[in-house]
Amino acid sequence: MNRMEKHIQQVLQETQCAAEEREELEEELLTHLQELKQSYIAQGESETKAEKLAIVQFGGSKLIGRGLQESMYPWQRGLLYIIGIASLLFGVLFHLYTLYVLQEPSIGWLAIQLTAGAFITLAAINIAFIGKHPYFLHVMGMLHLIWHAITYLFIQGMPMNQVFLFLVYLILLIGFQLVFLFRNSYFSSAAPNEDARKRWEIKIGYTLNLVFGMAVIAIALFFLWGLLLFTGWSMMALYAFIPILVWFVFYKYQMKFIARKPVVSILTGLLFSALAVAVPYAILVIV
Amino acid sequence: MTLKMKNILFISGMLILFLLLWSVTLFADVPKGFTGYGETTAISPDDETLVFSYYHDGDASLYAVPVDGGEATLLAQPEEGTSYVNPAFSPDGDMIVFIKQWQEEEQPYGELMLMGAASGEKRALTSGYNLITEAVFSPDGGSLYFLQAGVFQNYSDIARERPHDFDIHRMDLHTYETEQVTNKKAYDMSSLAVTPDGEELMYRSYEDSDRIIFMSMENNRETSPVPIFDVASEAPILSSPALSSDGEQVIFSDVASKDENGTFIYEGFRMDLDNYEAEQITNFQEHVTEPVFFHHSDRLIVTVDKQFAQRESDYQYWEVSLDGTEQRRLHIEIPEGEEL
Repeated sequence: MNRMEKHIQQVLQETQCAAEEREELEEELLTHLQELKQSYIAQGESETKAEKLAIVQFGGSKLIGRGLQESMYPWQRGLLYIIGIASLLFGVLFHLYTLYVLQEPSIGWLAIQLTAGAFITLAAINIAFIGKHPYFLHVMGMLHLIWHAITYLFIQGMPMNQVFLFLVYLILLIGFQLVFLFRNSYFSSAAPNEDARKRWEIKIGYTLNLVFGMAVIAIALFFLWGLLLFTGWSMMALYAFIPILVWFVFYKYQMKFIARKPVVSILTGLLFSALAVAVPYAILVIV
Repeated sequence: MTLKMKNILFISGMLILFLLLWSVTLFADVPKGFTGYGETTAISPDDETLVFSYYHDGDASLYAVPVDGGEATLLAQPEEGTSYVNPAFSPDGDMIVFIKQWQEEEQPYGELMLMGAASGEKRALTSGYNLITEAVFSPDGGSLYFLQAGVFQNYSDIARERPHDFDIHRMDLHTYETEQVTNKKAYDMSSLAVTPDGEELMYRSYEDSDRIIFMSMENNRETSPVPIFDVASEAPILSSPALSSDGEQVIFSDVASKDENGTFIYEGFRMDLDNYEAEQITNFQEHVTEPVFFHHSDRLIVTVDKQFAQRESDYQYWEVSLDGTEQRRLHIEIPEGEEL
C-alpha cells in the first residue's frame, strides 16, 4: 500500500459507509489524489514529493473523514456518542442512587448497563467497522432500547418523588435511541438518488415498521412484566422474548424490502409483527 | 492516537470504572435484609404480655412487651440466617411455641420450637427439613396442632413458588409423638386455631375461594361459615381469621374498599358464629391483618401494614376495641444491640 492509499484508508476509518459504498468512495478519493499528484509532477516535482504535496492539499485524514461522515450520515456518529455516554452516565448515577438511597444496589444491573453503554460508545469510536455491519448496529441499538425499557418498568415502581428525574432522563435517552434506529435503518438501506416522493414513502415505511417493532417489544415486555409479577424470575420469562427475536430476524430482510417497496412493506410489516406476537403466545395458550 | 489505542484506553477505562463502583458497593454499609416488626403476634393468657417477632437485617428474634406498649424484652434470638416467627402461648402461659424458619438453596424450611415463657429455655420439637408454618396449643395444653406443607413450588406458570400440600398434624407433648390429623394435601392452609371446647379445629383454606373451615376432630366433618357482609372485591379475599376465647366470634381481614390506585384496602371484620353476619370494625384505610383477641376483655391487637403492596412491609401493632370505637397504636421500644 503506497502513501496515498494509506491516507485514504485513514480517511475511511472515520466514515460509516457500507462495503460497496466504501469501495466506490475509495476509488473516487484515490482518483482525486492521483490527479493532484499528477498536477504536481507536471509542475516538476519528484514522484515522492508530488505524493506528499497532494496529500497535504487533499487535507488531514481525520478532518476529511469526519467531514465525509457528516455529509453522508449527518449526526449519526454524534448520536451514537450521545447515547453511549448518556447510558454510561445513567448507569453510574442510578447505581449510586440504588446504593446510597434505596440501599439495594444491583451489580448485575450495573454490569449490563455499563456494557450496553460501552458497546454503543465503541460503535461510535469504530464507526468504519460498524458501517460495514448496519444490521448488527441495528440489533445492538434495539437490544439497548429494550434494556432501557425494562429498566423503565422497574424504576417506575420506585418512589416517584425520588426517581422522577431518572425517568425523565430515561425517556429522553429512549427518544434519542428511537431517532437513531430510524435513521440507521434509513441510511443503511435507502438509495440516496431516489426522487423526493419515493424518499418520503421510504421514510414513512421505516417509521411505521419501527413503530410495529416497538409495539412487538412493548407487548413482549408487558408479558414479561406480568410473568415476573406473578411468578418471579424463571426460564419461562425467556419465552417472552421470542416475539422480539422473531421480529429481529424478520427486520433484517424487511430493512431492504422497505427501501424497494415502501408502501407494501407497511402491510407486510404489520402482518408479520402481528404474527410474531400472536403465534408464540397462541402456542403457549394451546400447550 | 491510533484507533487501536483508543479502543484499548476506552475498554480499560470502563473496566476500571466498573471495578471502582463494584468495590464501593461491596464496602458500602447496606442493610442485609428487612428490619422491622413481624406480621403475627400472640397475647399471653393473662392479657399482660404481647409476644412478637422483630427482624434485624432479615433475621427475626422474638420479643415480649407489655400489651400497653413500652420497652420490649428480647426472648429468643436465632443464629444468623434463621428467624423465629408465629409465636403462640400455651393455655397456662408458661410455654410459647413458635416456628424456626430458614432457607437453603432458595428452599424455605420451618421447624417447631418450644420455649419457656419465663426461663427462655428453648428446645426443638421437630428436626430435619420440614416446612411447618404455624402451631397452636390444644385447650388442655397437652398437645400441639400444627400446619405442615408438603412442597414448596409453583402450581402453575403464572404463580409464585409457595408452600402447598398442607395438612394438619398433632404432637402429643408428653410423648412427643406426632400424628397426621388430615389428609387433604391442601393448596393453602393458615390461621390454625382450636375451639375452646377442644372439639373442632378452625383454619383458613383456599378452595375456589378463601374459606374459614371448622373441622370436627371426632369425625373430620367440616363446616364453612360464609360471612354475610358487603365486600368491596368481587369475592371475599378473606385472610387471618382469629377465634375469640369463647369461640363465638371470628375476626378476619377482608377487602373493605380500594385506594386511588385501585389497591385493595383490607380492614378487620367481626363475624358472629350464630348467624354469620359480619361487620367492619376497623377503619385504618390501610392493610389490616393478623388480629389477635385479648382473653378477658373486648379488645384486639391487629397488625397494620403501612406499606402494603410495596417492596417491603412496614408493620405496626394497634389495639382496637371489639365494637370498633377505639383504636390506639402500641408504641414499642426495641432495645438496641441487646443479645442473650
